[in-house]
Amino acid sequence: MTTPKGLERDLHYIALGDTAAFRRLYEATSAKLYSVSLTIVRRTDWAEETLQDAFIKVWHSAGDYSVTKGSVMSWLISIVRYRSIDLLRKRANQELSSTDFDDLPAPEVLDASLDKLTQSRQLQVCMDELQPTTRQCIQLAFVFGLSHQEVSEHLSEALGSVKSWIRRGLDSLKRCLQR
Amino acid sequence: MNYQSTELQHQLAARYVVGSMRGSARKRFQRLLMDFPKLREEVAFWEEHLYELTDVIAPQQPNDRVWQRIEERLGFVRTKQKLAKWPWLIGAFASLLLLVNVVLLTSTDSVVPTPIDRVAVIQNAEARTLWLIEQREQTFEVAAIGAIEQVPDQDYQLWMLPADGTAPISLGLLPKQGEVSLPISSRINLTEVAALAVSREPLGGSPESIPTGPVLYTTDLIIL
Repeated sequence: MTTPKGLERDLHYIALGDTAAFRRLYEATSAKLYSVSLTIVRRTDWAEETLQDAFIKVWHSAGDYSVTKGSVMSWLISIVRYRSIDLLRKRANQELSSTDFDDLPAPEVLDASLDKLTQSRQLQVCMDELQPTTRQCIQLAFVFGLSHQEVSEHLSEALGSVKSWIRRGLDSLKRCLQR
Repeated sequence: MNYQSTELQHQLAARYVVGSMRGSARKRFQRLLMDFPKLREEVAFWEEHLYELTDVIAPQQPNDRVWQRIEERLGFVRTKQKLAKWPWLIGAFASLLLLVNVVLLTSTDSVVPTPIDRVAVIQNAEARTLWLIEQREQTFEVAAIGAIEQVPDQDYQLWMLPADGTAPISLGLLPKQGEVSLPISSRINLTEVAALAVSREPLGGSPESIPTGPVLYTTDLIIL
């Protein structure tokens, strides 16, 4: 298991053109990053394309990473999530079908899954302070890449309510995380 | 900066990171990020705090071909098809077509496992060949051949221009030297190609779905 420090060191080497470090970083993180993308784009070929693009970007942009901006995993996951969201936007058939909705976890499963947040006690505490529906909206958007409209359909709640819950939920979350 | 606009920054950054900001708003925000360090700080705050929400997803090993394609795209490995074994192909286009045909006719399966469907030659204004592109069943085999201007902070990107006049579709990044194999997405319809084009883009390719840099060269895909 590569430590966060190990990832930082490898990223530093990658910036200098070290292909062995690049391979190590791929082996340490690709399973996580692939699953993050697959959860959003829901197609193996698209997730593979996203992962390829993300690592090409990592190779070229490793020098842009700065420890002050956050952890390496946070940086990598952000690259993969944004690529995945951008890919959904570009594809014509980006709207979720009813089958896709069937594949999404039920609200109660989502809530239970938050217990897995073992690494960040603070995030777990702050998520716990939110209303259950607000919590689910934020998870569906962040983890599963759902748009406001799709969250609204999945939870059978009005679009306006979903928008307002997410906005207010993020405000509360920010206040809590800064405490 | 007044309180209201700071509030706005908080909200925009949060919506961007969470992913609920979509469409053109997302593209506009990405441009704003380049100009406003405060916005970048906000985005970094959310990225660092929220990424662990993805801990609920079980890691899943990607197929080995992903790493292979990455290595090929970055030019770490030579592709299976040794394009450079034909340096003498560089030259008049008519003779190129003739010679490729000869190679096809005389090749065994062990040399050319998948047939070449079409070829393209990208030349500069002086008619010097820069890249040789072969379209195979699932890939474009690309070889950088001529004197390609080495721009360390930029990449050359290959585009397909659809015959129906719709927006160009990216086919991948061209190598600055050596050879790469660019996978052809099953979603790309190559039967209706008007032309290929090459643009100069930021490292890693255009941040948009269309070229953002100057289009340097265009050429045709020729059916063999």
